[in-house]
Amino acid sequence: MPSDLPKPPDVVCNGLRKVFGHGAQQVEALASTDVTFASGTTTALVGPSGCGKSTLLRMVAGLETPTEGSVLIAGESPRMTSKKGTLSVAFQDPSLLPWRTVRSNVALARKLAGQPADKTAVDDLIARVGLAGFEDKRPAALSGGMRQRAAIARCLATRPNLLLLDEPFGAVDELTRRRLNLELPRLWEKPGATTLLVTHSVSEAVLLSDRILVLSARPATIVADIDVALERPRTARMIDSAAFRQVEHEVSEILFDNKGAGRRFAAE
Amino acid sequence: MTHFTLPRRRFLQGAAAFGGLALAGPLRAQAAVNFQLSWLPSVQFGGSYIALDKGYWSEEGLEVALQSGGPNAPVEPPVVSGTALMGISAADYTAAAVEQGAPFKIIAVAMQKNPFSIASLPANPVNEPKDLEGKSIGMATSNMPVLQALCEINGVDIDKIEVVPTQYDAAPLVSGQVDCLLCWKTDLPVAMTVAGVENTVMLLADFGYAVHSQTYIATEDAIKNDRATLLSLLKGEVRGWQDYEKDTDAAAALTVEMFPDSGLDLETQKIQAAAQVGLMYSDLTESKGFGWFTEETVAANIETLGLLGRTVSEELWDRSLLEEVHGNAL
Amino acid sequence: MTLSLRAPLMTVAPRATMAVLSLIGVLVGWEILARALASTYLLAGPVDVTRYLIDNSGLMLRALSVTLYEAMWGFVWGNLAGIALAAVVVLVPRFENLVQSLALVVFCLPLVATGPILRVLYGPGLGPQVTLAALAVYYTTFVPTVVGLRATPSTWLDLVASFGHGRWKELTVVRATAALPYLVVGLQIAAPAAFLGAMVGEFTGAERGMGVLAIQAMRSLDVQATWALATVASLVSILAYLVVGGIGKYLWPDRPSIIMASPAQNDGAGRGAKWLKTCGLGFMTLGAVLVLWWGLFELFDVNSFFAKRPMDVWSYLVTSPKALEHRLVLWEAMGETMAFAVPGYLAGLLLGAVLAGVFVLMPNLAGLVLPVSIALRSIPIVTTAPLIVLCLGRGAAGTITIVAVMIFFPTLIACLQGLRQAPGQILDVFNSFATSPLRTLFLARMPAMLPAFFASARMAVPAAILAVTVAEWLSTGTGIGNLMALTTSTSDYNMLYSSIAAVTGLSALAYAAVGALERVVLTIYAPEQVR
Repeated sequence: MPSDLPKPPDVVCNGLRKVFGHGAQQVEALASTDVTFASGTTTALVGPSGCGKSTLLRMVAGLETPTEGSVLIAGESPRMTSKKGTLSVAFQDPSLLPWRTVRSNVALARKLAGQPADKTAVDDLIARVGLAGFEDKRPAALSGGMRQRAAIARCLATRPNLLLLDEPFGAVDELTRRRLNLELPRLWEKPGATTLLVTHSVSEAVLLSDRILVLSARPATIVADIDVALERPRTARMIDSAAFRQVEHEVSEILFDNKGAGRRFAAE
Repeated sequence: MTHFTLPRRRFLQGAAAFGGLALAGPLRAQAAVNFQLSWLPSVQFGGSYIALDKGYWSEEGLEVALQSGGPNAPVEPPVVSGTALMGISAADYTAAAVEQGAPFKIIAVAMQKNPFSIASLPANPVNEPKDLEGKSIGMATSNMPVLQALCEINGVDIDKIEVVPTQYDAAPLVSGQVDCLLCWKTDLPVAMTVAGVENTVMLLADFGYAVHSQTYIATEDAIKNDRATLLSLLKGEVRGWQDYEKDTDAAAALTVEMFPDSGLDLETQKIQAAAQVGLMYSDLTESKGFGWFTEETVAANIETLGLLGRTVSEELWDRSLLEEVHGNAL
Repeated sequence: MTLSLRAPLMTVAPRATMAVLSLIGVLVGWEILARALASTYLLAGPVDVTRYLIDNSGLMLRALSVTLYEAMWGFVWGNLAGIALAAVVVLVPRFENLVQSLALVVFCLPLVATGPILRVLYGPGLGPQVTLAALAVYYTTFVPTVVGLRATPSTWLDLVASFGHGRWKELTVVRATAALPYLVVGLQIAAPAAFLGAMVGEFTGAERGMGVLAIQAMRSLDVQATWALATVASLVSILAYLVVGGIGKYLWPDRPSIIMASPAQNDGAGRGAKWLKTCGLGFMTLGAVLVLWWGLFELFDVNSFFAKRPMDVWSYLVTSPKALEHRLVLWEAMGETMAFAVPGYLAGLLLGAVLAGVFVLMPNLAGLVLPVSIALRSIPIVTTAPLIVLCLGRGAAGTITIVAVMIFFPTLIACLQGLRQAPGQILDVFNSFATSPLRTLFLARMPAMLPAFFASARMAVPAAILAVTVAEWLSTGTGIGNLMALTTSTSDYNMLYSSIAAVTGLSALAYAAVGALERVVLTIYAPEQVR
């Protein structure tokens, strides 16, 4: 990947809060939160399902409007960043257009971002996510893991420097997930992007991120902020290392055990 | 099943009054007979309603069920299949059915004059067939043969008439979409009159269009094997229509009373009832009796039917029952 | 009160307000138009209609209760038949294709022609009204019920099997439960259709009912009565639609959305083999129809003067010396009809799809128009056809409009549902690039809508034929609709049965053709729907 890209952005959330619904049916998804995601780092958001972690990510992506507070991406609003095409989102559902081929799905991202078509780059990317030979297949002909690879390729096709990953490996089986966890991050780690990853899996969070934020149940608040001081690139062998286990244990402790957060998780 | 129920009181009155005539009195078993009418309830069948209401049929030992027609209700099949003993058709439809193999005879003719007319507005009237040239006429395309026959009889150039296919409704004329309408004298013009729209009516029958209408039909088999019942049915019918002529308003009132659910308007029914008189009664019926027809009228019919594309012989008509009815009744 | 529509973006209160606003808009527009046209005897406004209804409330109520009674029995029998057929299809998969095709053929029988035949078969009484109402509903219940019975999660079936129960238990316990929400969707469409069927049935010689009054009113230049009847018939149909939908929504809040999915052909045969199979099925269906036709008439020993057998039609159209002439008459009438039906069909589909797109771009407008559209879809064609022709004239415009209107509303509603349904988080993906709504519409929503569009296009085929034949019969006096009515009155039953065979065959074929096209589209645009 070329290195002449601008520096990945800082993402600053100021008093960010989200409330859904009106009146009696009001639900506070995210309590007022201040957090900064530093340029070029990968931050994992973990927490019980249904807590506001996806909401936080979606507000950063500009897909939800904050009830209070703001998100600034390199000093600009998420919508501005979206328009520039420097931001990419991947979801749990691969969300490929079923009527387009893999190549055309990946190329679509560039089209939407207003970038010129670049067949060579697209095919290269498809090859690098491991789908060489499947360029002309439609999603229906692919396995779940392959679809997710295609979705990641689409996500990267615009060469974004802010990646927002909303449980992108949540729907694939454990074996596939492990493989994707190890293979795909290389694609975005090298060019360097600010990355937010929402995940259910503690080990995935440890494996992929530089920093883990543990969120409580609704309304989400950040209950722990843990540094992952493992070297990059991460490898399969690391998973069995003591350092890895140590972080994993630390996160799990907070998630599943003791104290306030634990009680609130138990209430889930 | 929705048969008419005769008001019991009336029935008993009728039975008592004519008790002496009926051999076994009111206890005599009534033979059930279906009589198929050609349209929805209206004073068009006023004579039949009178016959039913006054018990003319029950005196004959018949329990008659009048079956309504409608825009999508064929008359001929129930008569062919024997579901109905007698039906009301018209000479042209009967001729068509006979062509298709139905063994029908016309046994009486209610409308001596065909009710087909050209209705127009007085400002732009059609008083005679020649007036049709250069005008637009609203009609069902299925009635083209009627217009063709009229033009041929009267030497009118049909190419000079603009035919606009319309539904059977006076609105196209009133709203100016067409200059005139082909319709029955007894319905759309009456509706216009009631709605306060003055209109001019030219009866086709006055210009050589001779097709018996509202004809009574029965199968050859019924005429031969169920003759007595047919005779009784006709007798009651004839008496009903004799009463009708004397007081059309009463017939209209009875119709509205008998069919409260048909959306009939008394005023309309009265005008229609009166308009019908000129079509049904003539010097001929005056001297020979209701429903009568002669060799001359039959010959005229055969000629007009020929113009309509129906080849028939005088065999289609059978006056023998009517002769018996009037022979007995008069 | 809220309308039972699916409009997830709007909360209850604004939606109700929108519905009321649009209703008021329609009423005011109607009244103004009526006053402008007062001298033409074409249109009566809401004020006159209300006055008429008040003055004639007794008559109206009696007529309405008769027609409702017929419609109710038709609804019951028709839906029972639809459910039973669906059960047969699921219980005996071997007969599936044949039953599906036969059900379609019967559904394609033109009401205009079946009416008088039923009257002859039943004699006086309510028989034809109830039967026509039943015929009008059973197919739209049958199709979603089959889909529903099939939509059972396989784990449920495994559960039943693990207890050692067979197909019957599987059907009655598991599948039936899974199919209920689908059934409700079918019942909802059936409710107004039953009312329409009953009204057409009353044209075959009933003594009372809304259909009888409608004819009487039209003939007597009674504009108030005509429009009052149309209004009442429409309101009742709309109400029936909303009530059934409301009950369904109350019992099963989450309703399936794509309900008219084309029956999947679940065999792995190659393309050539598939063609052969399709042709085989076609011949089998034809054979079954002919045997049933002949067999039923013989069984009930119906008089051959009017109950023509397949052999009669064959000789009339093929072997008799005048066969060519007969074919020409039929051909010409069909041509006339198609000249109206095809443009109307296409216009209705196109308009529905385009307007659905516009509504997605302008959700506020949709809130205003959608309640009206849903309502209008329920209005019985027998009341609208004459009114539209009355207003637009008898030329091509009037008839094409009638067909288009019949097609338009269901298409609009299906397309709107389809547009809302871009799969997964695709819309989020588009959104994350700040893609304009118009671009999203073209790139994501429109293609995702195609399955709903084609399902609607397929169901619209018989609807278009119904609309055009009713219009021809009641209003314009042209084409095959008129030919069928005319041949009934001139006892030309050979031509009548030939017409029925032609119309039925044509609409069944067109339905199958659209269905085949739909499957091609589905394999590309919604592969998960084609197993």
